[in-house]
Amino acid sequence: MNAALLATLINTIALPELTTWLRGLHQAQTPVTEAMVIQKLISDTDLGISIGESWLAAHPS
Amino acid sequence: MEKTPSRLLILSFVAVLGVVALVSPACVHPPATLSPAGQTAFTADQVVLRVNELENAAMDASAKSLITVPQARVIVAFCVDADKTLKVLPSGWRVSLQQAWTLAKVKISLPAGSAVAGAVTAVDLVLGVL
Repeated sequence: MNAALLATLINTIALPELTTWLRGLHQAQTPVTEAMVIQKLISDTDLGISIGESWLAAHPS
Repeated sequence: MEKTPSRLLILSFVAVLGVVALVSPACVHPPATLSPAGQTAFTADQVVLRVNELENAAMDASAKSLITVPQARVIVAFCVDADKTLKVLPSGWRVSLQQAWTLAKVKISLPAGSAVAGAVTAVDLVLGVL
């Protein structure tokens, strides 16, 4: 195989694929931090409170 | 088809497996790399997720007239109060939520096969009131 063609194939196909795969691995192993967990707790509770209070207001006893 | 005791036993086992599979997210453990405060928040968030699912199930069942609006109101009010407690007391929610949930369940008295039974069981498990 022509060396230039091989280099082009590596640069245009193999390297981007490899980069994407490595980036995915890195993101999958991103550690969960305390701040992230606390922020998620706050947003999840806020969501439940907001939806629930709206529904209760729309359905008075 | 004849229902022998062993067939009933197998069906019961499959049903139990189904319930366990349904509520298995409630049993997710916090990552060991988290700090104690992070682990506490993680556990509280698992409860919030189950509570919010129950809230959605109650509203949906009420919209489809599968449960009454007063029953749904009891559940949704519990969920709102539970979310407020979990937000401000991520480490001290257990006893107060267990008591509130037990009282709420007495008020609504839903049959075992009701439209929100799965979500009710998930909250039972995550609060430890089964």
